[in-house]
Amino acid sequence: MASAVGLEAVEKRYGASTLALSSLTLRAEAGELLVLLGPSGCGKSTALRIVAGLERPTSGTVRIGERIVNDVEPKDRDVAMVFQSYALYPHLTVRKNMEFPLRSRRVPAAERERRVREAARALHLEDLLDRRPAQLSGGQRQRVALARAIVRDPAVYLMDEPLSNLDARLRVEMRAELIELHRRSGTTIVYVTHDQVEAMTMGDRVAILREGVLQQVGTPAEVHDRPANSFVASFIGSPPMNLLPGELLGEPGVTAGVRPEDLAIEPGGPVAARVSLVESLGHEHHVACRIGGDGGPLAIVRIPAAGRPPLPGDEVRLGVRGALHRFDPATGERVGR
Amino acid sequence: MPTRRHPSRYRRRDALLAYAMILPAFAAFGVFVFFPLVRTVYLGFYRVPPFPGLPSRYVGFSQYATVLSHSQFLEPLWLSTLFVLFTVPTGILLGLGMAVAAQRQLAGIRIFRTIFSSTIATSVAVASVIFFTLLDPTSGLFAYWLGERGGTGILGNPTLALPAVAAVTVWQNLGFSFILMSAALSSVPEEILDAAAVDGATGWRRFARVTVPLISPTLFFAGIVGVISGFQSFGQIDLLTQGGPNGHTNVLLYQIYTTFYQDADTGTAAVMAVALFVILVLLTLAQFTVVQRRVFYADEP
Repeated sequence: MASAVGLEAVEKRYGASTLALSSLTLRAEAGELLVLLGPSGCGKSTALRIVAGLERPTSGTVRIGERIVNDVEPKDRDVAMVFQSYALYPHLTVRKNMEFPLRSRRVPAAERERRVREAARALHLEDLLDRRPAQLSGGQRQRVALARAIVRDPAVYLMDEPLSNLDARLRVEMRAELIELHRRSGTTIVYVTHDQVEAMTMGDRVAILREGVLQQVGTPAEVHDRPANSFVASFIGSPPMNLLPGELLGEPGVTAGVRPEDLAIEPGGPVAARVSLVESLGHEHHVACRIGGDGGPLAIVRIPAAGRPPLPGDEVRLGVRGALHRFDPATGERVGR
Repeated sequence: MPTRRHPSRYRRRDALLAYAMILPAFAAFGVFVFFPLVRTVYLGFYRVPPFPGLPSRYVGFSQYATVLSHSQFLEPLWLSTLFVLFTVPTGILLGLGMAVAAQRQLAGIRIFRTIFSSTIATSVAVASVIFFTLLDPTSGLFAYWLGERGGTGILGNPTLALPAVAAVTVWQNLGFSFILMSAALSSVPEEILDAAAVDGATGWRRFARVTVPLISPTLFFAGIVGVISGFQSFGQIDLLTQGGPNGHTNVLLYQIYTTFYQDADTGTAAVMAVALFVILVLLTLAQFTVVQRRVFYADEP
């Protein structure tokens, strides 16, 4: 059965000085895929390890379902974890790896056999059951790590950057498989990543952390369209949102945020700029411009490939075509709507 | 492309250079390993008469047959085997146990790590002298504890002498064993242990099912090195018991030594030395074939 996961005012300190998590309150609803997103060192992995029971919070409450699990051993929390390094048992075959959590729980042999077969089928591992991890490719190892979690049929899956050791193509493939797995099983997943594309494509909701402090929680659309502060604004989206002094765009007193796709190069636009670099990606161009000429602040404009891109050194006029976000220049907090 | 036009000349020059480079190592190996080995086998073919001054006589393999079936070889061989059985498993288990204990993140654990590894700085001679003093039947601490002053002492006791020498050996090797096991334990990836904890294996089960298989190459190495050095133990025997009492610690290497130097029976000593060499080779091969099947190497193809 899927369970909700709740962190209530959870704090984690290492020694006297290092604050890894600062009063984190966050809830993943039953059946939800909640992504913890942030740069490295933001505390997202610590939060996940606290849910798993591999770390004890310094203070605060951890709930799985309605049960408070602060003092519950990892093995008794009914969670399965997938690690970035896969953490397969290198001395065991794929089959034995998948059986390991079941044997630990004294699941009868027939039931074990059945569950391993089902998980192996779901993840296309039938032909690899008698191999050892060293004989598998990275993608196959990743699938074994997932299979080892699936056989448990846990209340919650915890995933710590499970795709970041894969190459780009495999990552996209596995991402789709994970989404599929989530849809089929309907189990709660708490998923840690530093990759905002992963977060946006997979998460039902995304929680963004920075230096141990929660910045914003919301659906991918919410955090993209209404970032709570300039950090979230610049972390979500690729290329990142342009953060410019407001007076350049006629908004004095604020930091103005405009996504590259919301800027346009248009004759007669209100802002003068000089093109400094053009990156062509095939389906679109990213045009980097210095506002007001050389030495001015940098803004990136995203234009579809259909249009002919300007050349470096060209003088252009820019206009805002989409949303303009306003942030307090001192605190970075969102101003207004 | 000159290298293509004269491939043989270049190859010959490379080969000559290569041989020149391995020559020093080969010469040293020849003088200090290969020659003594051949010489020992050869000495074994000559019977030394029991009276000094008479010439040795070529007897071929017959001396091998007589010596290897005689109790002057078989008894020391059995004592050596017992000595290895006393020292190797105990040494590995104690070292592993201490390494596990020292892995705990406790205040002041560094002091214990230093103490645990300290015997690596002692030599066989130092360890033997320390324990010779402690075990002395009149003035030693052990005699005082046991309330047995003036008797034969532990080293003079036919039943206890060999275990006592074995215990001194275990103590002396403990620092090395501890360091070896600590290094092995710290090489076990943290994430794998975390995975095992989440998967439901904790405490003893996790240690037996995950940690031990992952450090099995080190255990295997410690086993082989321990067996070889156990069969080659000499210093502690010589300093503590000289093979006594009444031959109860007369292990094979000590028997070879006394046969060679005290009895001046080079032929018999040579036969036993060759036998020890063959035994060690066979034991090592056996360990490789039998034990290695259960050893897991992480970089296995």
